[in-house]
Order: sequence, then C-alpha cells, then structure tokens
Amino acid sequence: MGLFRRPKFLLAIGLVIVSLVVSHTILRFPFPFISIKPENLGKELIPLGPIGDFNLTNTIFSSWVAIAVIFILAYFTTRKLGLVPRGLQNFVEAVLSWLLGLVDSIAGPKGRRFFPLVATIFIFVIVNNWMSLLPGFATVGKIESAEEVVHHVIEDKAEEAEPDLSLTEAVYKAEHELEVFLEWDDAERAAAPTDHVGKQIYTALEGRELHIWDEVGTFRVMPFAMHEQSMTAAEYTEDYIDFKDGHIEDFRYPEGQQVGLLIPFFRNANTGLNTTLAIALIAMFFVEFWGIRSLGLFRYAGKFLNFSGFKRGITTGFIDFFVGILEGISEIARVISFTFRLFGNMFAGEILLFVMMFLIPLALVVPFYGLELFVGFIQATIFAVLTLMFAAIAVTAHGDHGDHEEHSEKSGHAEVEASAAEEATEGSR
Amino acid sequence: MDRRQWLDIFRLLGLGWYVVTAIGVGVAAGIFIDRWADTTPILTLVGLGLGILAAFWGMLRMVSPLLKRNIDRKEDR
Repeated sequence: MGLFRRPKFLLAIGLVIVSLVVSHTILRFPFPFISIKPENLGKELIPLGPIGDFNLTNTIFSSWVAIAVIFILAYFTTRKLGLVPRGLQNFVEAVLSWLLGLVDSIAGPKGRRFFPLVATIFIFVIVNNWMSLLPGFATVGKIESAEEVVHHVIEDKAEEAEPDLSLTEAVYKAEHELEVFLEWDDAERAAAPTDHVGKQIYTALEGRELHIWDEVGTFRVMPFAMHEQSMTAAEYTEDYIDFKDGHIEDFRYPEGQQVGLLIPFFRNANTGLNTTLAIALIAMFFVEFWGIRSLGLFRYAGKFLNFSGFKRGITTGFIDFFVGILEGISEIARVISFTFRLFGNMFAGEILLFVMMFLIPLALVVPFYGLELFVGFIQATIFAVLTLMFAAIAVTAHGDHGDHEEHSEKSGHAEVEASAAEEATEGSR
Repeated sequence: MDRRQWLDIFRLLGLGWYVVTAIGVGVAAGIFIDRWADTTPILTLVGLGLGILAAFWGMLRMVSPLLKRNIDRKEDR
C-alpha cells in the first residue's frame, strides 16, 4: 500500500489518533440534553393578559443578537461610502449584487419590488445560521437544577391539564388535588390513566438525563466543571427527593455537586419552530399581498375559487374548480414546508454536531462544521429563492398562466443574457 | 455552471419538503374535520387524496418551466 508510506498520510492518522486519545481522556464532552422546544431564559417576563405571557427563550435572544450584528454591520458599512468600494463595503456590495442578480434572473425586471423582502430573509437566516457555529452557542449558559427541571415539567403538564386556570393555581391543583405522586410503585404507575397528570410527569421525567456538575456557581461553559457520568431523572427522584404524604417535601443534592441541565444563553434561532414559522408567515403574507395588489382582490381570489370554467361546460368547470382547491391547499402547504424545511435542517444540523462532539470530539467535528456552514448557506438561499418564485407565480394571471410563465421565463432569460452581455462589455473595457 | 443552473438547483432542492408537507396538510386537515364531524375515516382518505394531488400539482407547477426550457432546447438542436 503506497498510501501508508506517505509521511503526510501517516501524520494525519497520527493526529487523529492523538486527538481521539486526548478527547476521550481530558476533554470528554458529555451528551447534552436535546430539547425541541427552545429553552426558557426568563419565564413570563412580561404578562400580556389574554394573549399569554412573554417568555424570553434562548432562540429569541439569539435572534436579537443576530439583528444587532446586522445593524452594526450596516452601520459600519454605510458610514464611509466610497464610489470605489473597499473593505467592508466591498463585501456587502458583492453580497447584495449577487442577491440582486438572483432576483433579476428569476422574476425579471419587474421583480425588483421583491428584492427588499427576499434580501432581508436571506440575510437574517444566514446570519443566524452561521452565528450558531461560533463558540459559545449552545455551550455557555446557566444551570437549571433538578428541582427546577421537575418544577417546569409539572408547570407544563399542569398548564396542559387545566388550561382555564392561572399557572399558579394549575400547579397547586396538579400537586395537591390531582395527586402528583412521584413515589408510585410500578404497578400503580402502570394502572394510572394516560391523561393523569402524575403519570404524564413521570413519563416526561423518565427519559431525561440530568448532568452532574461541580458546585461552583450558576453560570457555566459546557464541558468544564462537569462530571463524566450523569443520572437519569428516575434515579435522582429515587435517591434525592424526600416525600411526605405522597407530595414532594425536599430536593437534596450529592455532597459538593449540582444536578441539573445547562440552559444555554444562545441557540440558533432557526432551531426553534416559532422563528421559522414567523419568517414563513411574513414571506407568504407578502406573496399574497403582491398577488392581490397586482391582480386585484377578485381576480386573485379567482385563482382559488374558480367558477369561470363553468361557462365552458360542466366538466371543464369542475376541473377548474378542483384545480383552484388544489392551489389553495398548496398555498397552505407552502407555509408549513417553509417552516419545517428550515427548522428540520438546522435542528438536525445542531444534533449532528452534538452527536459528533460526543462520539469523536476534536478529530472529526471539523468536517461537520464545514458541512453545517454549507447547509446554513443552502437553506438561506432556498428560503429566499422559493419566496421569490412564489411571488413571481402569484403576480402572474391565472387564465393564461402557461403562456405567461413561458413569456416571463423567456424575458427573464433574455434579461440574463442581456446582463451577461453587459458584464462582458464591461469586462472588455 | 452559470447562475441560471444554480437557481434551478435551489428550486429543485426545495421540492422534497413541499411534497411531504402538502400530503401532511391534506391528511391532518382530513383527520381534524373527521374528528369534528365524526365521519372517520372518510374525510381522512379524501384529505390524503387531495394532499397527494396538491403535492403533484404544485410540484408540476414548480418544475414545468424547467421542463419547458429543456423541451425548447431539444427542439432547437
């Protein structure tokens, strides 16, 4: 094997082995707790009455940071504008002209009005995605002790069980009247109905792994001050929770240690369904708005409730009507596919990084960071391009959309060729 | 590859999720109305059918410009 005689190859293998040894002895990374729901940094910070309460989750917080980053970037770019772009201005202009070319080539010359939204979505999504690869994301945070973990599970379940009561009342009721016995034996637990709050809390806690930390304060950086082994919530309940009359009396902790989960301050905003749903709703709102504005309300609604075909006969009428219904369904499906495409990809990426960090830290995480960099870019572009495409489809009339599309397609093509020709002449100058 | 081909790639990359969710939306709406009107499983099946059709229809609309361009190109040759 010639490959094994090459010094560079051997060096690479040696480095991988060394980093494997180091990472499994000194820098061991525990398997973090993965939650689909963004973690709460401050529960019910601002009470909003009938709408609910404002919870500051780490995804909202990170999206604020992303917005701040974009603001700062924009400020420093536009402070000293030069005719010949240099430095930061050069970079931002390159990005924006790339986006502008994208808009022009899909939607043609009339598509410039879509540009602000498309560019905003692209920039917001990509800044969030790429920021989440920085150190500090998902690893720096405060510790939620086991007591708080149990309490939050009870709160969530109580809210679900008694939606009409206020949170405090619901928790009280769950703990006292609905009999949250955490010291049930297995037979009792199995016998309880599935909608019983106590059983739900038990099942919610059972799958959880609690991490064990040194007792040195509340704020932590992930792999440090962390013990290798962890404890399941069931084990913790059995050994460290005191009960009295079937209710929780006291939470105890092992000597000099803390048991709990890390609540990171930063988490990629696109790994929370709320953010992606919000972007998708804004995008589709504007798509419908542009459709209505360029076609008029009735002509636009005629796309979905299409009765015009009945003039040409009953069969054609039914087919056209049916096609209109399909359009309506696909419009709803678009919002959801926008939401889940971005969420799924970013959340899966985060878990991939966690798992790789856990399995082979240092050595094999780097390629996956590269992959995530790529996926973050691809997802931002897909979101922007699809928004643009839907907008372009929405502003074309229904009846002759085939011809229209072809027309716009051709004119778009001509536009690209024209701009290419322009570039060529500019290059030759 | 020129810019246009890259755009086509992004267009097609978004398709998979769309197909999945269109079918999902149809079924979910069917189940929801079924529960509300107590007609299980008729409307679930209707929703499934509608979802599949909507998925196919939407996919066709997203792809048809590309197909058309390919056909044009073949005819040009």
